[in-house]
Amino acid sequence: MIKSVGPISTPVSLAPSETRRESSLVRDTWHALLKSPSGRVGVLLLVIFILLAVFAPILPLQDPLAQDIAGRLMPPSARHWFGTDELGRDILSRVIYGARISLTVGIVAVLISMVLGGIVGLIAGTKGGVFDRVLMRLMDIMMGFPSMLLAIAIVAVRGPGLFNTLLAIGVIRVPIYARLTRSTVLSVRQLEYVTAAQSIGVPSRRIMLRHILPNSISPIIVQGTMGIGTAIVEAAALGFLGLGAQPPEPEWGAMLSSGYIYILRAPWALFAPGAAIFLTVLAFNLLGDALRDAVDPRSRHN
Amino acid sequence: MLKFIIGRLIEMVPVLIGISILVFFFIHLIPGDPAAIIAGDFATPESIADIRSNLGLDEPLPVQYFRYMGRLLRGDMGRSIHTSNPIAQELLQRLPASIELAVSAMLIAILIGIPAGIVSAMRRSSILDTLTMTGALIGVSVPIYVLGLVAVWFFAVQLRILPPGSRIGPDIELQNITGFFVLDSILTRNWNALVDVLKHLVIPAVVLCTVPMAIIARITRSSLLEVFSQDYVRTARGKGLSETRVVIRHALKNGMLPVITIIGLQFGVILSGAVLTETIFSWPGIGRWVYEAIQKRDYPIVQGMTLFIGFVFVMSSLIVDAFYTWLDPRVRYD
Repeated sequence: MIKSVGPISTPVSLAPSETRRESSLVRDTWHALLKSPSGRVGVLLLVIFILLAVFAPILPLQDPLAQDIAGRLMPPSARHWFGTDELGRDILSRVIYGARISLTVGIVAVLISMVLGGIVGLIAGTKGGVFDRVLMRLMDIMMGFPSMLLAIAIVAVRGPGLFNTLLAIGVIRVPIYARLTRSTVLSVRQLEYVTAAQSIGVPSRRIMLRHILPNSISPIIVQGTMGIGTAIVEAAALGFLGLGAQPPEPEWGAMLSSGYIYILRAPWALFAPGAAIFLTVLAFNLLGDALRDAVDPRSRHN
Repeated sequence: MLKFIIGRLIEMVPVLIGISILVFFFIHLIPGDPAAIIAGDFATPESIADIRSNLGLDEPLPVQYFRYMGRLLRGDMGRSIHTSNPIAQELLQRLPASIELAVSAMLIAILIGIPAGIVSAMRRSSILDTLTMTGALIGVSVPIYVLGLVAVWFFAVQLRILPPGSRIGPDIELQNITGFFVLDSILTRNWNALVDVLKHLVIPAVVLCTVPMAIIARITRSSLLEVFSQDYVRTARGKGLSETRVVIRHALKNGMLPVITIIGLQFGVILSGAVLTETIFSWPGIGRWVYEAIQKRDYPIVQGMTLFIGFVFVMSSLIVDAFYTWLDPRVRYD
């Protein structure tokens, strides 16, 4: 009760207590996360991938775009750890530079769907009535649509390319986050501190942003973590179909499809990007699983 | 029950209309003038305009939409721009290939996924459980196109025991009765063809089944564990029933509800993923057809097939719901 009375008399006084509570929630979650083996493996894999992606330009790698026709389709060797592709480019370097593309696409696409879906869900859940019905029907229509087909259709309309891939993957996931946000908001809205805030006349936008949103965020973050893996798979799928990143970009999906032609002569051109996609997605799934258990107090007690 | 299904069918109508409007206007945003494509490279502006008015493409979009829907309700999906074959007819020819693949994949997924989930739940925290769940995690993390390429490399390129793609060998003769090659070869007692068809089916079906299988195993396990903690299961155990009997007669019936939902949803997912699998394995179904149509900007095919797959998706969720209600009478009272 004291907490909800706070904001009207001295709005500033809420800030320190809220920060302290939040940081301890984050710290608890982090500890629980590192306690589980899957969480540790997931975090470790991701840290490696992120470091490689971020520091790719200063690593002693060959130029991912430099062609060497004389040395094309060479098997793995001391000079080219993962071999070379059909244009003699170093596959190791291309896979590491590819991590930059895939991680960015995955994270940005999920942010797009999280923000758009979050806004839709928050409005539907807080306003209710006609808003709720119309928005959710719209989301049903999008959900009633095979996601991969929708992504392909969006890219077909907007033209192939990395930016449109990002947009397509982001848009197709909006309904998931809209529904999730809405249902969390609906359950949080029933809680006493929201009623208390309403009764003392806190404006509804403030209730939405300061009271409901922070308490609804954890399931959304868990969904988002797993969603990054899915987004990476889908973006690479579009790249594989030739609708995503265009040559000569070192995108994993595109590398797979150009390597497929040489499956008889140079299977290593497939293995490296394939393994990279698998390990990245595995890392996000491990992290997502562990995060879900970590933020769920029921499972933390076990 | 009937009332429930009719109610759901009526509820579906606005969703289906929404999908059709979305698809129709979306497709018309795709760059490229279909009339110019049909007319070819050396067409005059007059001939393009001629074709456009013949196809009704010069009418306002809403008029075109209602015309299209009117024809669609009579079973006419238009014609392909490139081959001018009727789309509905080609759809019927290609559909069995996609269904055969999807059903085979789902069968494998169910036959392995459910028992794996049950065993995992019964022997919780055992090595078997850890192995199954690790397998399931890997299953959901390997994209089908990565697994598909590796499987083709291993079985078709290295071992040379399975073909890399297509539905049947070029030198095998099979009388086409139903379009389902497995069924056709059994009906005609063409065992030679049956072996060949199954060989072609193995890699695509196994690759396609991994994600649904992993998800089914996970859901079966967690749903059973939830049921195990309930009083009536404790009572059954307290009565001294054998563990097998407790699981099969008491826990499974309630524990299967979420599994059925997932199976239904995965069916839709498999169909929409057909674009990818069928492209990798040169499988002559609807997925590869859509992919080729997108690349050739054959928009009547893209439009018709997007609508069709959306329709199947919505229908499969309806069937799941109906089945669910039949199994769990409590849902009806909601």
